[in-house]
Amino acid sequence: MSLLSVRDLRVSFGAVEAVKGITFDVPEHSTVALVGESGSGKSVTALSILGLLPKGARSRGEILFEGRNIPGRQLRGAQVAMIFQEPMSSLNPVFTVGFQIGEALREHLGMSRRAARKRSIELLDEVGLSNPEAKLGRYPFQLSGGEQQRVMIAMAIACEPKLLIADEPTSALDVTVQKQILELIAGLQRRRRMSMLFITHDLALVKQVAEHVVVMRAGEIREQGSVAQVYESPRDDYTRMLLDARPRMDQPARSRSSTETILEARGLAKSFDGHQAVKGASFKLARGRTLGLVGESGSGKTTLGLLVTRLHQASGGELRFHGEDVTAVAPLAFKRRVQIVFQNPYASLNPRFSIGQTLTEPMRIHAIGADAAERRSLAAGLLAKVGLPESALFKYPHEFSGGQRQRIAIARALALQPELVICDEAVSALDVSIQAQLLNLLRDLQDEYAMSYLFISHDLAVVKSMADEVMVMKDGEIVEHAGVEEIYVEPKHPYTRALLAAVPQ
Amino acid sequence: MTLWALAAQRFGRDSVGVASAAIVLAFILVAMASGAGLIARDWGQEVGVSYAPPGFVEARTEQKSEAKVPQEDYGIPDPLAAELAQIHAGLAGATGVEAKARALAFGADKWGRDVLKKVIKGTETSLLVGLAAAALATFLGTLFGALAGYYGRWIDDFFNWLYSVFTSIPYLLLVLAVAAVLGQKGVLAVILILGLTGWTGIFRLIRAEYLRHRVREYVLAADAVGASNARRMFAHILPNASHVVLVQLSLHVVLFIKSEVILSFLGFGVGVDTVSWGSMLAEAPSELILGMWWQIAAATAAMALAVTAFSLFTDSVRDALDPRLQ
Repeated sequence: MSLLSVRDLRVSFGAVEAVKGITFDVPEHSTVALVGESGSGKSVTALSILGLLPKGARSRGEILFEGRNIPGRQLRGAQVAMIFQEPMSSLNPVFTVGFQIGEALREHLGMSRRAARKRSIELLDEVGLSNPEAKLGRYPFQLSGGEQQRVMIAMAIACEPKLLIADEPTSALDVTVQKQILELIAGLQRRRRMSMLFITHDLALVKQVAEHVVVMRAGEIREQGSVAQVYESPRDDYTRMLLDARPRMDQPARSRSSTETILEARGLAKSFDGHQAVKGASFKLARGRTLGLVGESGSGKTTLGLLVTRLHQASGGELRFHGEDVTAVAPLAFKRRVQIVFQNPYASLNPRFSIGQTLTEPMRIHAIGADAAERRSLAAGLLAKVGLPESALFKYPHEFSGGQRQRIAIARALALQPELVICDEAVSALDVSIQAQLLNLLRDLQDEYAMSYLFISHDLAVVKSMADEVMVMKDGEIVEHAGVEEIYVEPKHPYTRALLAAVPQ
Repeated sequence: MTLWALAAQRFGRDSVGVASAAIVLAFILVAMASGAGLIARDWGQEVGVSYAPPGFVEARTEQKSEAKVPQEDYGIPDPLAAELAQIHAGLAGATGVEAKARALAFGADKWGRDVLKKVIKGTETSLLVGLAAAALATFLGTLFGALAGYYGRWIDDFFNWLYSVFTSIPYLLLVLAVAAVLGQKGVLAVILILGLTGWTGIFRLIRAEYLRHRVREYVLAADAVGASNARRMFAHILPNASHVVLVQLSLHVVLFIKSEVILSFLGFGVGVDTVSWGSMLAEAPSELILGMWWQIAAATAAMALAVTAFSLFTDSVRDALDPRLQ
């Protein structure tokens, strides 16, 4: 018998149906992965199992736990526990870790203060936190992201649930930490003989944790089956597209040669209030080529990108553009030749500017195009380049999806016909299918305009599909810099090796 | 569709907001008509008898007839009787026509001026003071907040110091001090007093908005395409903080209408040749002792309606402009 059965579940918000009649089972002692892109209804499904749907949502259909229909409120905590994506916002910042775990134990299991403390230490030890006694007195902000997620997991397993729902538990974490957390969750699931519903957008992760997989799209189940079957012979077109969209680590790298150096950094450094974010970065970038920059959060890769665009002023070192010291070049002239595309397409476009205004602004500042009409037709041309219709000129950012907004951001960067574009996690916030389209677009544009890219990403597979050379950054230092084939095949630095080992295959 | 159009759509669905907007608009129209001299131009005319009661209570109040010239005084005949009789006879044709109304629609004040016209004229003054002072305070607060929040460092320190100085002095004391320094009474003085002292709250909020927005990626992107500091501050960030500006403007109109009343009541407000709700209320204490309630009633009703409508309007504007929609 299955532990959890979802029968013809439908959830609607007003007139919008987010989940359109889905049916699946979670057997005992096994892991089921619920996979889908944003808006597929996977998180809504999890919330309705726990009865945590926001007000105004209506759900129909049956959710059976051990064959019985139990209201979500009675399942929470004792029978079913949940881990969320953002550990920082799931923990209350004003209470210590010990208080928050202890609270769950006292509330649900009626433990005494002393017993709860003893149990908390055991739990923190079980989730692999070093020195658990000291950690009890810490506040969430004193822990790293990975440690916070471990605390969340400790809280989730505190009441020995039979089912653990993990909603994107590693999406906010670095790849090396992700690997540790996944191993922890998988270990706990085996040891405690729990079942798990693992929700993710990343098909590569599924292989590592789950036995069964359910692929969702737009509120419907497109395919379900064992992991082996779905990966080996996907029956659904959408599943196949998802599997193919992800850049692979084993694909051959692009390789183009060019000798003309356009940018050279020598010992570039930046410190904020005594903290050294970038410690002496030196590299060269040739025309028409892509330099990948890989690192985990806090490694200083974004700061380095901002230094190269001169949006931040370097506190040391030298930056040469076409052999000329950039501090000697007028800022406006430099900006025309070096552009940047940011990570978050929701934040990088001014919500009060129409797309037309956004695209013509750089032209106006740099006096490209004779008059407003000419600039408008240039803007329409840029939109066509990135695959958007001319009618978009009169719309505002909120009328576009994330992928479309990122296309607009790319069009804005292209408006000045730059020689170098910094792509700072430019595709990281997007769904894999959209990601693949944008990576193709970036490659095509590079070939057409012979632009150079500084391609910053935490995602090694994406970097491999784009870059000619790769730099690995850790704690503000470039620890390894080599050609793309070399670095992925024979990594020299131990950190690079650790990064590569952590990538889900 | 622009975000403004979406906000207008949301506002249109809010019936309380629409109703209060209509009342606010009506007040503004009345004030404008009065300012243009279309109505209540002759508010200073002494059209009624002193403290003429409102028309709807006239029936109950017997008007005492004007005291006649005494004809007799303890049996001593008036030596001037003949001359007075002659004067009276002479005046009978001319000034006697200036017969003052014994009752007016909403009563009259001490000098026999029509209370209704005074309220209309007072609406003009009070709204003018409220709107102009709020505009001045919002302008200063927004400008200072933008500079401090955007540039940071010593500019921020300087404006924060100024803010601390202004907020460390008790409000009324500060207002009275500025009034004393300006040394003149009148509508302009009141606007300056309120505007120059009232920008602090707006400054704090706008500064916070700029601190939040200046590190946003769209501002960095504007920097990357070469937009100047001024352009980033006012063309990029300001429209994204404009909901705060609008709500603060509207809130301060209410605040300053009330402040004007307090100032006028204390005698630092508009001059004697001008009428405002505050100066009408200032006349009220002595009238109330005599049972003449109509002036305070009219001024209070007008003010309460205007302030309530403005407050509800502000709430609805804030809801409609909620920028959660990205």
